[in-house]
Amino acid sequence: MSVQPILSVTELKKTFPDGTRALRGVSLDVMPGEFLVMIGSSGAGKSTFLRCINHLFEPTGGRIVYDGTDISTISGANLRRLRRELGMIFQGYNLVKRLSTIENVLLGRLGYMSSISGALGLYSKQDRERAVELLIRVGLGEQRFKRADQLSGGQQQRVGIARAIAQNARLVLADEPIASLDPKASDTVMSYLHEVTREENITCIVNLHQVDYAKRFADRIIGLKDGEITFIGKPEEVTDEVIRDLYGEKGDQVDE
Amino acid sequence: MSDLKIVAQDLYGRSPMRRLMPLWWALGLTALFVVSILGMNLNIARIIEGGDRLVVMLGQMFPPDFSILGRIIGPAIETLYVAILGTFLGVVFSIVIGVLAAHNITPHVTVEIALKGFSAFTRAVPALIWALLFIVAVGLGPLPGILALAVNSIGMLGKVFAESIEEIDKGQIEAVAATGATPLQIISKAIIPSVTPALVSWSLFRLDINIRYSAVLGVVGAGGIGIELVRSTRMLAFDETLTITLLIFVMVWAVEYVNNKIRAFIR
Repeated sequence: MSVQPILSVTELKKTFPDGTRALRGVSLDVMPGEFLVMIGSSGAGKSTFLRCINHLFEPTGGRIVYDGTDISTISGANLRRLRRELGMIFQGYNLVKRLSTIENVLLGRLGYMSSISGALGLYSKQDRERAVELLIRVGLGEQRFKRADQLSGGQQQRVGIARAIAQNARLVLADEPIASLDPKASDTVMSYLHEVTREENITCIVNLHQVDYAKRFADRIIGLKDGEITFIGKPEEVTDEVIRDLYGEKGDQVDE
Repeated sequence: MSDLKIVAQDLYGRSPMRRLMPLWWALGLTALFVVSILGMNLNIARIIEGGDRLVVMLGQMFPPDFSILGRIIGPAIETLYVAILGTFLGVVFSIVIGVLAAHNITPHVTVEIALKGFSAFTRAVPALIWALLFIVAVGLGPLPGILALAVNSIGMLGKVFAESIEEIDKGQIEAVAATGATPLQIISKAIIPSVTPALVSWSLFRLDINIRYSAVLGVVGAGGIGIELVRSTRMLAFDETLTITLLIFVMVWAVEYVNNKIRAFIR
């Protein structure tokens, strides 16, 4: 008996209004519980790929099937119901800076509440308990009433992880979660992300610049170049040649 | 050394005409000033004569007649009420308009254009004219004053609220949308918290302006202390005029003081 992929993308295309062809037909199956890392230089289309899945960007072609349902052209209330199962983690953390840490985690519950009670912030006691528990798990229990903009970058990103998990997400999309962090904070954030999603059996797609982190955490690595997948394989299959191909002839891992 | 020839343009980076820009501006503004004076037929003798009368009037102002305080305190408080209610109504409507007119979250671009046009119009018509219009519509008293200030406030606040929302970091909105939040939840949980300091600060600034306007609106019969001011000058009771003016000053100053305290508290 074969396991159904949780996400199945076929020939996904995205062309921006200015004519940029960010995705030129990407096909990929993601299995439940997988920790997938996408590598590739800036502008390769990694971010566009994630944003097409939860429709922050509208794809221009191709098919996306999530958990057996075609979500290629989903919109309105159906899209909101989909989004609450897809946690997203951003490069810029994107916390609401003037809300407290715990309030930011609770934002993950909005999709499960009525429009009004969510707008009024009438979170249930269970939601608050869960938020505190998640903050303790990412090592920020003490900081829960601090305003988000008073946290360091690494701490903010851990709140971002807690927010995504608070959604009871089944699939987490992490878009360059450590690109703005120093090595020590990067380590902490990647470890928490890996650990929490493993414990909760959440599927995770992470975009990364850093090949070493990809090799350390990934179950599978996807190489994206100019809007096309040029490599799919296990971490140990990522050779210097693969990296050279993805990041240009000089073989630098970091762009610029 | 090289045979590079250095010309003036290399040193100043602009042509001589452009360099003298400040001078052209100064000449132009002076000309405008002179033309305006000539156009008005201002008569020096009249200004001097008026100065004499001003001195007499100032003499009659002192000492201010504080015995009328008991009588004018009621209208003074009414002026405050008119300003506060006018500002409150203005703020409430401006939040709705700001949210609907902000380019990044407007439901449709035609809504944005219509609402921005509407607030430009209410801003262009002065508060005094609005008061006169509302007096015709609802009669004399504080109500037309409140409505005039509310409508005139929308002109300013609707615009600045929309602009504050347009300046929000779009990532915060995106992140809340990505949790599956409804538009109302996004407004309440991502947008309002982000613009709160601007919202409070602009509203208090508008209250400040409205207190001053409210005192003036009384002159045309839209409630408050303004009418007392007009009455005292008509009766040439300048000692009363000074008392009323001082009271208005104290009110404006007190509101400004409280505003500054609140603004320092909200960051």
